[in-house]
Amino acid sequence: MIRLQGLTVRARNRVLVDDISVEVAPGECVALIGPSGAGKSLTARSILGLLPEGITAVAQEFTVDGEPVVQPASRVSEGATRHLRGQVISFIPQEAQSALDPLRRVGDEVAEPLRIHGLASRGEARDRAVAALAEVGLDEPALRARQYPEQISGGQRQRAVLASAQIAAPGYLVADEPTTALDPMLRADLIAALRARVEAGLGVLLISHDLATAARIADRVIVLADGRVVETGPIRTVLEAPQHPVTRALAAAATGEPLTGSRNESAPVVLEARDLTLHRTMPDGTTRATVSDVSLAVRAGSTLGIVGASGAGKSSVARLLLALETPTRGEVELAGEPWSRLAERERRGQRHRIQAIAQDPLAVLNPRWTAARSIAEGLPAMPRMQRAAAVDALLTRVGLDASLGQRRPGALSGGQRQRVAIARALAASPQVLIADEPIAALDPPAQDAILRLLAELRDRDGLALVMISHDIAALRRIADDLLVLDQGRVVAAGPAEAVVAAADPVTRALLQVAH
Amino acid sequence: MSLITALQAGQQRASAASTWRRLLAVAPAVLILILVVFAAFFPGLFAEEANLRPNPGAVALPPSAEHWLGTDLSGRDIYTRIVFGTGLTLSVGIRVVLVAGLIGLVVGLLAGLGPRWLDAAITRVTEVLLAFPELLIALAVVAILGRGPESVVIGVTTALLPAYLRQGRVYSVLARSTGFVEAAKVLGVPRRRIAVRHIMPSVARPLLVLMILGFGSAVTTAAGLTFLGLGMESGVDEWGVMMQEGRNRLGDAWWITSMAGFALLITVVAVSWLGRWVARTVQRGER
Repeated sequence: MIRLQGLTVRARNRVLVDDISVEVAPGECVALIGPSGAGKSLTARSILGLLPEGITAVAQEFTVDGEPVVQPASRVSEGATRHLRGQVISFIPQEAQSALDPLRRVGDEVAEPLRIHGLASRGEARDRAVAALAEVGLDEPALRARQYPEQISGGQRQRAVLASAQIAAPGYLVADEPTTALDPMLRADLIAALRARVEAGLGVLLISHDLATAARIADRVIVLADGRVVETGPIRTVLEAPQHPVTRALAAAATGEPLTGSRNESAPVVLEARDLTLHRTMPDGTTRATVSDVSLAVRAGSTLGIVGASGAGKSSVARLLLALETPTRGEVELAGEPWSRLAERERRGQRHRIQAIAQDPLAVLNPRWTAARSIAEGLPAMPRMQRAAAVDALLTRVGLDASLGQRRPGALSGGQRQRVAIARALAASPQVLIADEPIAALDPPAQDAILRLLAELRDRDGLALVMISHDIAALRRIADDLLVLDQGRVVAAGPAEAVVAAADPVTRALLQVAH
Repeated sequence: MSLITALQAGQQRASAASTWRRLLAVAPAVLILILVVFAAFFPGLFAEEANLRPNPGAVALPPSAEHWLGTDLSGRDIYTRIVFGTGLTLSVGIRVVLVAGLIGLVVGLLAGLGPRWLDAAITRVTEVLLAFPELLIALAVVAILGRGPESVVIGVTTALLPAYLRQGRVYSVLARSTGFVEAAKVLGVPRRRIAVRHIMPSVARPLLVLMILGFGSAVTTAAGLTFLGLGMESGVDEWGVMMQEGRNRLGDAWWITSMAGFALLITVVAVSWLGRWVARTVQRGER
């Protein structure tokens, strides 16, 4: 049993987590839930001794399986917990997508805990990595193990990280928002996989801002707010009779009002794709079509939603539209002029017309640059004073205080980072905005705010918005037209309500898991 | 939100304070290096140049109150010679890492960002260089160019270059595949500007660390060359030369080789110590 009593986390003299106690028994899943900034991640990271520089955790008592990890009332350091990590307690970090080394094959990454702790030979580790990948439900695990992280989809990466966390058969798992970036099907799968592990004796500490997810897997729940425990108890009790206002707010899952644009048939088509096809070469030398014969058109001031399960080819379509990949066949036109056919040299001067918003804003912002400098990168050449004023105006326009411009991405919250990324895209004065899962990595309040911002920009500036998501529920709120992808092919397309009403099997499956 | 703000502010203050605290941990290394740098630029502060003159009456004397570190085979005071040899010895190491770092940066960027055939060519050349022992390459270059400080710098640089080339290439490939480089491409930022603003700093930082850590290998490889008789001309005030001169008298006049070797050891350890500290600090800044 992990027993952590009286945990206090401080940054200098400021108390961030105040006297929290957590116990996780084998075969039990405890959910630590609360709004952003409640201290959930800090508590989880304290158990692993992985706190940011300048932040210290002191525990009154900290034992694992009866063995004291630190002396009573002393600091939980990185060194004190090193022997536990990976072997006794494994960890899935919040941004698991970027937890894989881009230069190593997926299988080597998955097998790393075995190699570090000397638990298996190289060949054996390789076989066990493939087995672990199969166990977390990855298709063709032997192939995936030989691919590089950038060659597999986000959902597949997430599962690879889970496989890596399980491979050394630890007794406990700390999972920091493991399902946030997954599509609903994978989320359901992962929850089932985690639950099965719990039944098999794994002790899980699940960090989540989402009571609904917690309800499907956890036995007990600890609700945090402002660094304190405000409510605790069996999940059913807390869910059915929440006592504290914070718990009640989390329990009342918010459903937002529609944010659709104008369906104005006379508005010009700004982005059009015909018969887009993209073939990719696999490690065994065969080629596969990741995108097959996709055609689409987007009018100014409207939103096209592209929806599909993980690996359906959504991001590949986005990259084709942005001309980051050259289509094997087919063509993209921007405002009736050639786009994908242009040579990069001719296209560069036009690139500002079509901009991208990514799922993980942390990855697309240079970590060493301030927000203001990143935003200024999108601006055309202008005098320095004018540039500073333009950056401030953009920050204000995306709902950020101008003073945040001096921060680096690491010092901003997920929602703030996404706003900075949007401000940079707007700096280029685009006609088309392609948003690939722009809200998947955010907590629900930030998701709502970013959706509203995107809808407002679309309506006010007449932007054509292409939004890609696995979450058909979120897309229905904002999209005028929907395009449903499955294995790289369009299975349904048209006005959003018509697509939903027609409900072909793929759409129906996506709808089902969304609720 | 306010929590994150406060946390961040706390973190920034804490890191400013802890930078000083961590600097304290390398204080001995800093102190040694300050002395070494002063000795290099103002040797007159530490010893008298007059003691560099050969003195046939005081050949190979062991350490004593008069000659702290003893005298060499020509009767020169070893302490004085070490002090006056500091500048030349260190300048070889510094020139080697500067040239190797610069070549590593430029060629690494070319390999990482240029056409594929260029990358392949650079990688092959690096692998060929790696296949030979460092000292052998340095020896071959000096044998071709003849003895003297310049040949030693060129020889040692060639020998140590593969590590810099690889590091430069790997970090430019890594930086090329980051999201922010792709984002800059989507914005229509010209390739050259992406290379200079985004990729070069990502490559330069790890190279800087490698340069500091590599200083030790540069100085010792250069000394090794000289020790083997294929480096600096004999008679020059340089630590490697001093070590070479005493190598046949290790049995009865051990101090001639050992004292110069000890000076080299202390300097290299101090630089490496500081280098590791810089490496950690740079990594901290990346997070």
